[in-house]
Amino acid sequence: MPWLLLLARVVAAGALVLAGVMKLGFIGGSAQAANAPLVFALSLQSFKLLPDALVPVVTYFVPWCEVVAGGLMLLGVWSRQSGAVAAGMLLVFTLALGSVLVRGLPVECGCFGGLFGETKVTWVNIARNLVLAACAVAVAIAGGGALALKPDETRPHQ
Amino acid sequence: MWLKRCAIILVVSAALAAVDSFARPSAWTVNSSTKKESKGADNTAAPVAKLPTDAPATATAHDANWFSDQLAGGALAIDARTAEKFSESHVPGAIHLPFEAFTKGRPDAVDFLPDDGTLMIIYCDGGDCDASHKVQTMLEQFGIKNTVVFEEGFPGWQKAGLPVETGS
Repeated sequence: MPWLLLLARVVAAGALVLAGVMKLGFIGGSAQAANAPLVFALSLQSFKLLPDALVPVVTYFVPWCEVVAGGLMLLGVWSRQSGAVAAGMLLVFTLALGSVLVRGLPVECGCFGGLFGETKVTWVNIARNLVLAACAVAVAIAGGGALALKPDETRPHQ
Repeated sequence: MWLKRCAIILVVSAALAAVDSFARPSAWTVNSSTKKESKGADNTAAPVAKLPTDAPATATAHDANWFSDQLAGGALAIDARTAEKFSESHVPGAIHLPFEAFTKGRPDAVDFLPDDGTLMIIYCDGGDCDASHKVQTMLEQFGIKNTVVFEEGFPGWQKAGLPVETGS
């Protein structure tokens, strides 16, 4: 069980940190760093879920939240809490992607900042997010498992 | 304690996001959904448009014949669709510049765009396709503001019975 939790931690947290870092343009040249937030903002805007005034706020908040929550979960520090935040984010992302599919909008995911090429949102994105969310929920419920830096986690009732 | 830690994670993320948004070298804004109609859009006899360099990157056009006339007068067409669709068929002389080209930084194609005020008309698939608007916004970040989005997209061009070109 501890090793399964470690696997869940690495899968969910690894994906979140990678997604956050790519959205912020921290991998690649300076031109990519300058472009990345705008690229993500345009993806967010094309989802047609947020008012324009909120797009810049979410553009920066979401990737930093992915980096912070994913980073803590990866290290095994505050695993339950970072897992809960990560699960919440992933479920919101899944709902957003689902609404895009239901409305039939031909938009790109923007999930990994174009790392894997910009492809239109499909049910594969939803399935991937649900797997990642399941990993994050497992960590939120059962803790960080093996190789966690701070294994003595608090539980929700504490 | 549990909720407090969750709140700390969110607050730290928000603080980092705020610092990052102010620290970025080039501030940017997301265009509102309000689109400005190009003056020449409904005037098929209009000369080749040269928009002022400080024009907002939200100009749009709907008339395929106006688009065609602008091209005949020296304007440049930019195709924001996928490579597959571009190879299949596109507006004659169009440059392929999809939105995904901007995810890796400044696309090489940007360096080949004219900087003499030539009008550039961007199109994609029409309808719900917003790739052309995204490309327009990205070009604006690189100082290229003399652009117009052809809202009807390539389907609108074809519907008007205008010639097309194949190959990449």
